[in-house]
Amino acid sequence: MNQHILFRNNINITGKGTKAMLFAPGFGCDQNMWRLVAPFFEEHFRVILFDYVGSGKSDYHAYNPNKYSNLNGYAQDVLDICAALELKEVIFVGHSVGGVIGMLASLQEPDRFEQLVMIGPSPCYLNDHPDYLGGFEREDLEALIEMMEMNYIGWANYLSQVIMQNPERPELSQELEESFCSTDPTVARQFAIATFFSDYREELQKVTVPSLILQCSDDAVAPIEVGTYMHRTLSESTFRLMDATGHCPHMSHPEETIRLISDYLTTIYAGSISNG
Amino acid sequence: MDEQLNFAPCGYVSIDDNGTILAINETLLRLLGHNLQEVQGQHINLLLSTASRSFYQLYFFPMIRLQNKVEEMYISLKSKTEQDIPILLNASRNERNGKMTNDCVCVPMKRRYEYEQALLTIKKETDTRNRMKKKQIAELDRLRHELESKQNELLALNEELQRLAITDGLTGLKNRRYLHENLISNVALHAERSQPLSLLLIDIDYFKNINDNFGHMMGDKVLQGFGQLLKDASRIDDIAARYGGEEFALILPKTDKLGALKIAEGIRSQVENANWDLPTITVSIGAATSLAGDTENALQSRADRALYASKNRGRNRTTHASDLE
Repeated sequence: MNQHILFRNNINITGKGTKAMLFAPGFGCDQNMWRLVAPFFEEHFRVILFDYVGSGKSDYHAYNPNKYSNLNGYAQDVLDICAALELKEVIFVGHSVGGVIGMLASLQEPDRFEQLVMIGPSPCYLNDHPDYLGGFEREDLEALIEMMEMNYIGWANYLSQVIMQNPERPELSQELEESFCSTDPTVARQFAIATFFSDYREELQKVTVPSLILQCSDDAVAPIEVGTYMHRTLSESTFRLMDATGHCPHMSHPEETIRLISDYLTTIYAGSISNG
Repeated sequence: MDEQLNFAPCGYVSIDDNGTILAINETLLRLLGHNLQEVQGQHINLLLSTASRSFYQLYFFPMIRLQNKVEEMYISLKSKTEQDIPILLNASRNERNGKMTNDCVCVPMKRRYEYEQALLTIKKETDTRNRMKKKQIAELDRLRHELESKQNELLALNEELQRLAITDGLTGLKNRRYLHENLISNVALHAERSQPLSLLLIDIDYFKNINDNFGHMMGDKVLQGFGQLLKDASRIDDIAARYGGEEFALILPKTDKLGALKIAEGIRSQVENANWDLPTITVSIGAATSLAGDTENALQSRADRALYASKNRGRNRTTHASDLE
């Protein structure tokens, strides 16, 4: 069972500490996304990286369209990982949809999580006028998914079929696999739909685990209104607006990302020590 | 920017990691309908639709950062007049003057875009049709399985009904209807093959007394016990049946008079010697063996006469019809 989970989600463990930090990538990418941030925490933590089923070096055979048709399927995998590694009171760090996945997992088994660090999270991408601004109209999201299809999803199926008939050109398949952080095309499409058409606003108020929200300036995917909405709705949340722009501060501004996370953790644990 | 790059037959733009436009060539400016002042130093979002902005964040940036290059990426630019301009983009990440820049070249792909859209639409339709076909096949399969299992249920039910229709409920022996049908076919078959066929009619003696003195429950028990005894005495092709009341019959294929008498005598003595938890029970038996040109009625009535004779001669005995004349 444990070995199976470790293999399924391509789990990699490093670090000298005992307290676990579990890093969940965002949409469309794998654990490589963390390579500028995660190593910093190896000095004091047990750093755990993984890939979603269907991404990176996960076990693509484990993909089940029903299970992963919404984010709870991915949340279950996070819980499986916690169970397989016997993790408790984890510091969960999730980028984008990874943060929401961690939040959903914490609703199932709150004891597994001590802190949720969410980078550019959004509980709902669609605008719900006039009370909620997710940043997107339906047409925008459809155009986004179409763009993904034009680039990759719509074609890779065909291409992979062509490639299978061209065994003398293995380099072609290799190239395809490396592109787009290697996500299986049909999986990516379903993941995109599960992510961008989801609405987990109702779940926010049920979260009991304390959280840190890292909000980028000028993020086209998760605008500042979304970050402040999350901060308002999550009961024990801390909100930090970053100097970083874009949606991937852990790649574009790793120093600031590291600083804000470690400052937060230092405050939390200094507090707990003085209280204790 | 040198003249060749500025007017090269492809768009060129370089942006830093924050998305700020550092340089852009004339070809791309003309494609977008902008001038340099409007664009330089601005965020690349200025040139992107809402969907493209997200695509840039979700795919372009992570890829260029992780792999230092982007190849053959389709993305849609936005012109000054808000027109979508589909382009194909290659990018590489280079260090210049100690700063990282992401250099992009792009070519418009309007016609190719139309073709690909058309292909994608057809592909989607095909996918939908295939999915529907799969669903329909699955549904047909399900119906076929259902039909098969219903059919099997029906067959089993029929078999059970058939069994019940030819079985005597109390003893589990064949019933009178079956006996009659079997006798007809067996008489014809044995006549055809010129083989002897014998029939025993067996009556439990003074059965009425058992019912009267010990109750019908006991009577039924005796009928069942005798049924079992008859079953055990039967050979594989013999047909044991309850004729009605306390009368039983045993069809003995390929059996002549001597054979029939031997079997009848065996049954008679077994009944006599069996332990019934009652005063001794006996049976009277009438036997008959088929003759050339026999009918089942004739055979049966001869056996009947022989049984009558056994009764008249004091019961607990076997009489063969041929010994009566």
